Amino acid sequence: MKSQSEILGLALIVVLIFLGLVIYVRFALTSDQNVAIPAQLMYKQLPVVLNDVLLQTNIQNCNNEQLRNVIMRCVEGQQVCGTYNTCEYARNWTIQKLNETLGEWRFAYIYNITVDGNTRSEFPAIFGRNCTRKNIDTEVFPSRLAGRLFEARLSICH
Amino acid sequence: MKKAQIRIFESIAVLVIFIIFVAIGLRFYTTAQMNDLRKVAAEFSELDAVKVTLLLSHMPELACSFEGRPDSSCMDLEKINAMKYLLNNTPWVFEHYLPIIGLSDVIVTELYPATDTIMLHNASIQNTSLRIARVTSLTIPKNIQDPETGYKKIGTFTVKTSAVRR
Repeated sequence: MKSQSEILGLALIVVLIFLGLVIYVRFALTSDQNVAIPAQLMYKQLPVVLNDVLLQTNIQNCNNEQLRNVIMRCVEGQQVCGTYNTCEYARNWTIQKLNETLGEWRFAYIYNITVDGNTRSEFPAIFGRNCTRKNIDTEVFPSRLAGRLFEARLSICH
Repeated sequence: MKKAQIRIFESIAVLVIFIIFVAIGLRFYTTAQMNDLRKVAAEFSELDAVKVTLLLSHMPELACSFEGRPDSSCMDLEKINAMKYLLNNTPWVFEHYLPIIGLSDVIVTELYPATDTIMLHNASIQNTSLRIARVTSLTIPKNIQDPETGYKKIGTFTVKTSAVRR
């Protein structure tokens, strides 16, 4: 009888230790999964700021026009990038700058342009990496150029 | 050895084992608490870095001007150079900005059309004696405007904020 109660006591201690370990491991794992608030803040800011920065940059080889004007000229069939095709140059330039920023920082992204609500075949969407995560922050930069609604949409996946 | 003595030893052994278990439990608990505290400290440090980065990047002293009004979406190249000169050569200006800049390295990098780096403030040179617990680096893209031509360039604004070990 005495040995039975001792075995029961030992079993109880083992169960308690096991429970303690399970609670500790679970606690440690759930803490790691939380993304810090500042990081989230910056993710929200990034597409807003970067989209703004890209569209307002003056492009040297395109009469120093801002990117948004160059894309608009591309859509309207005008030539402003010297001997280069305006649409090709604007798109390649955008791809390069997105690669140098979001690409370097290892973000997956989608960048697309619509004019009057329609996507344009002259400026197909740009995809950087495959988005495998569920958090996507999108920023639309709308402006009215030459009487038309121009929207540049940058989505960042993190 | 008498039976009573054996029982006393038994009780002592049980107590010792119990104390060992409690000590192990406390050790686990304090480790978990310390990890949590470190995470909270890191989060506060990051929040501080975000605050400093946003404050500095939106300062009218560095922002572009449009029709006499500051435009914080971009930074003025001349203002950046002037601020760098004043911070490094005018003690009262440095003291004025010290509560904001504090232990932060502030770096402006031009990415397009040319590549260039301007070290606006280098805290690590001035505070070599401090024990740094962690450095949080935040980079945000910014347009840098040349006021002479009015052209906007692509750049980044980086703030490396150091948290001191106490």
